[in-house]
Amino acid sequence: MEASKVDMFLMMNSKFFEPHQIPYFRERLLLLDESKYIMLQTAGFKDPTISLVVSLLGGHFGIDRFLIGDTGLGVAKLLTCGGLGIWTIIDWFMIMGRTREVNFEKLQQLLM
Amino acid sequence: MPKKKLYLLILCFALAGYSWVILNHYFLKRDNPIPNVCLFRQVTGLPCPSCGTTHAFLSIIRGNFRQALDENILGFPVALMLVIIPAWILTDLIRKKESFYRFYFRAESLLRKKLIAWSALAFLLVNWGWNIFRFFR
Repeated sequence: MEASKVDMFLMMNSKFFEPHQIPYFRERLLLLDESKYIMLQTAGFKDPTISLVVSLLGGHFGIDRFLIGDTGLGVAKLLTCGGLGIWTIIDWFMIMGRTREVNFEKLQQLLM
Repeated sequence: MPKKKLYLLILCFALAGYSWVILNHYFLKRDNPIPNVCLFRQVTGLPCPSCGTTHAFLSIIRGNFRQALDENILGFPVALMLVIIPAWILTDLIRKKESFYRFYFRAESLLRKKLIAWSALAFLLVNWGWNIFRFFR
């Protein structure tokens, strides 16, 4: 893929990933076929800030976990009063990182 | 999520769950129940959808299924999960297989299906309504 397109994609989507993952993605995207560009653009990554807001408001019911696709853990959180409230508070700090991790896994799958 | 991380996480949750149940059992026996720890109930004054699950779980252990139904029906799936899942994971670890890992992701994708997700949500809302009604009864 063209370097300008890759840079534009990374510039637009950098907030969805950990900063240290960006150079790795740049290398991989440069080797990627041009036809996959549209797939990348429409991948629908989850916004870490949105998941934080959801975690603050609905974390007690596991809605944040459902949002990012961790359905199993969402159910566990819902059935345990948000892990007795402790897991809810832990997730306020963890959910942004986990969202970026989920986005990383999604992009990895697209690149394969 | 990698297999090891998931298994470790679930085993930790199961351990925490059992510790919580034992702690509650011990305190209830001495007629000195643990104060409510539900964040939602502390803030809003209303019970959350899963309030009462611990008491329901304890009732199931004692064989009082009727009382467990009245306390919170979600005690049944929680009890089932707490018994089956750790045993399944330990069997997997001993036999060096990943049957639970595969099942977990299959169950997750099943739960994401619209019909199942909406039915589960409707059931949860009805149960929550009942929980609130019972709270003020």
